[in-house]
Amino acid sequence: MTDHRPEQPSLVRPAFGVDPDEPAVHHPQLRAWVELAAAEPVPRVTVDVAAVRRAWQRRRATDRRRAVLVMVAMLVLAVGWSWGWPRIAARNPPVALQGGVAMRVDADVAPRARYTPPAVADAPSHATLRRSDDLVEGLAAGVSVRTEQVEAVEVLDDDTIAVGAGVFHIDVAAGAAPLRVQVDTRVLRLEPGTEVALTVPDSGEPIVTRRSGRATWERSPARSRGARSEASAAALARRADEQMKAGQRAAAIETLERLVEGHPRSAAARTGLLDLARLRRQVGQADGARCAYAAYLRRWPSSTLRVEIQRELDRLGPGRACRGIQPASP
Amino acid sequence: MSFVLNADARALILAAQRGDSAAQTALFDAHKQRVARQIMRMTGDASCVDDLVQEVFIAAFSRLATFRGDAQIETWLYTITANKVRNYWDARRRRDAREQGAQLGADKAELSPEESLEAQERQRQFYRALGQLPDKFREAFTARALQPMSLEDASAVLGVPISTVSYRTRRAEEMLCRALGLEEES
Repeated sequence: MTDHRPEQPSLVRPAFGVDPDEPAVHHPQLRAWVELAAAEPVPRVTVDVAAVRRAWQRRRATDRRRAVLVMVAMLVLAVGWSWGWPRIAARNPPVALQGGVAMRVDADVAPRARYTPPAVADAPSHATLRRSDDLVEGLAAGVSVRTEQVEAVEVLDDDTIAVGAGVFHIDVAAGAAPLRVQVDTRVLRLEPGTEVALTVPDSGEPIVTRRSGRATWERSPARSRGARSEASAAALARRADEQMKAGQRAAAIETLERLVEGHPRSAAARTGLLDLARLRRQVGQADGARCAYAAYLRRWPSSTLRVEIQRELDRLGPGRACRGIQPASP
Repeated sequence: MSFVLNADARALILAAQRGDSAAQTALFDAHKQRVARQIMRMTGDASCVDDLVQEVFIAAFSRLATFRGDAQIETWLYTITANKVRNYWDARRRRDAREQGAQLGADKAELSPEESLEAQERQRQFYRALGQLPDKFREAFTARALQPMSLEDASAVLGVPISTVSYRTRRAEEMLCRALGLEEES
């Protein structure tokens, strides 16, 4: 709010090229999400001005005490420094810096050790590789994927991910299973004990900088189980939405099953699983609904909805065992 | 949204600046619900509204002496609120990271119908994605889409040109669509 510089060409009013009546949200699906959020009722403010004023006065008193403490501390430091430094300096000979190491200067004795800077590695330092923004969840033990400048990461399976444009730091521990990274139609296979930085540009070839281990490109896409299917998660979610709106429950159930099985860790699968449970229940598939709810709790056990979902499960009661999101065959 | 600093409002602010508790109470009562609404739309978290309203007015009372009256009181409070909400998002992102994706949002003790589950889940996802946006993009999008303000009003409260508001809102929309897995419109 303090930086008033526009990121785009600076246009002062009247703003050329800006329609004053342009809609705030263009995407129809996003508009539906926004309308849902905007419809959330605003709670009444229960805090009163007396409480605010009491808190304000307490804070002012704390701030004053803190300021006094800082001043006292600075005073003590200044006095201590002026009193102690001449004595410390008199007790210790002067030091000089050489090669980043403090060495005592002694006129009679030649220095016995000389600092040798570490050899420069070909690859960037470990610290550079670790400078990252986000840790991808849902992978097998021993596999870590950190992302920066990232647009999309989809965990297709415990050991298969699909990435879009971005920069990824991937570490597959020595004892872990190999990791497959799907980039467009190609697959990068990372053996255990491999650490790489993967840069995927918007257009052009991806760049792999290997720190250790073995990384190889495979020609074929990731194995069929869990691989990205012909339709993306977003496309399936949209199709399911349309089918639900049109009242085509059976078709919507089928689409949602493809969504949650084909893209199990996608954001769309999360709401899709709840939609699936609700639709199955509506068409009388109590076992299917229960399996979908149970799958949701398994995948996102810390969800804030777990209490409500557990209640739905209790309401559905016991039934057939589940295999994934489907009821097991009798 | 129109902001009018009339003579009464000016007198009220002057009295509040002098420490008149009745004037401070009147200012609080006049603006608390607007501030609460802004917080709710910016965070989607009803449980934080009271705390943040208190924080906003503590800051406002502390800085009232520096309010020169060249901005509207609503704009001034909007800016304070936006800064508090930035702190809220910083803390929430840190907490999310610490809890490794533990879910946020107000737990509702009452039994909800199934549709309500989905609505809650969608809203949680939406605000989680919104919280990941850069502050400026999030604030522009919130002002335009959730409050909702005209381009001109959003430009006034955000203190940037209309073209910048428009650009930031569109960029925020693109980022949100990507984060929520919504396909781009052809």
